[in-house]
Amino acid sequence: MATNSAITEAVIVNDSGTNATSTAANSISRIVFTAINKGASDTLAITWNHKFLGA
Amino acid sequence: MGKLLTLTIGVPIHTPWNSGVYEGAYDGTGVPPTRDNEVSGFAGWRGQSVPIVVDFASAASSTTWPQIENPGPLDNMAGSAFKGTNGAGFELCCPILPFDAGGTSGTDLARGAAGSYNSHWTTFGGNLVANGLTSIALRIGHEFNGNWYRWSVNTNTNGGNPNGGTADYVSYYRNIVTTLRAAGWAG
Repeated sequence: MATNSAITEAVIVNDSGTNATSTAANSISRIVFTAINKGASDTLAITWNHKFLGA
Repeated sequence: MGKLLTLTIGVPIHTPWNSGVYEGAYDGTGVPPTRDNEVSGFAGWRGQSVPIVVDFASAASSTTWPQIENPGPLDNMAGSAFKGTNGAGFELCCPILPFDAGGTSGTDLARGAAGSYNSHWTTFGGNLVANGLTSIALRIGHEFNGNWYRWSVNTNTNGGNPNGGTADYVSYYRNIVTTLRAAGWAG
């Protein structure tokens, strides 16, 4: 993503058409954090660790 | 070129594996101090403790059932500084068929699969308990996919007897594990 701003939120969504959280039902995982200042030419690599519990 | 920014979300959950050393020949009298010193030396050289030490029970051309039931390393492992809790500091590679001088001892995986050798493994399990090694790691019938041990699932070069195939190995392996656990092995 070629942004140039402070990033404070990351979300995994399943509405691939828009790539945006149109509704909460489309959000699989979301986190907010202290701003990460990403320049347009910077790369932000996010590693998600999920623990899946059995039923 | 811009910077690489990284963000890790959540805590990685993994079980670290043990990294140890093969230190053979824990059998023999007066052995533990010598072997332990060698393991200590390796730990010092690599700058990291040695949580697991691997040894092999004899699988030479004259291995007998008594030697399988009570392999030489057991009592020395019991007295080793690297024993850990109930032997968890050791891994022992175990032959599952005896050899004789001619390599044709009349034993095979099929008989093992049928339970014919369970009594031997009950005895071995009792010896693990007697030596305080109930948590020792065991490599049972190791390197079975080669052709140099009598328990190989391939036609092997040790005596030339075909020893049965994969199914017999699997069944025999399961018999051994079940029998050892019944005898007190915690693995």
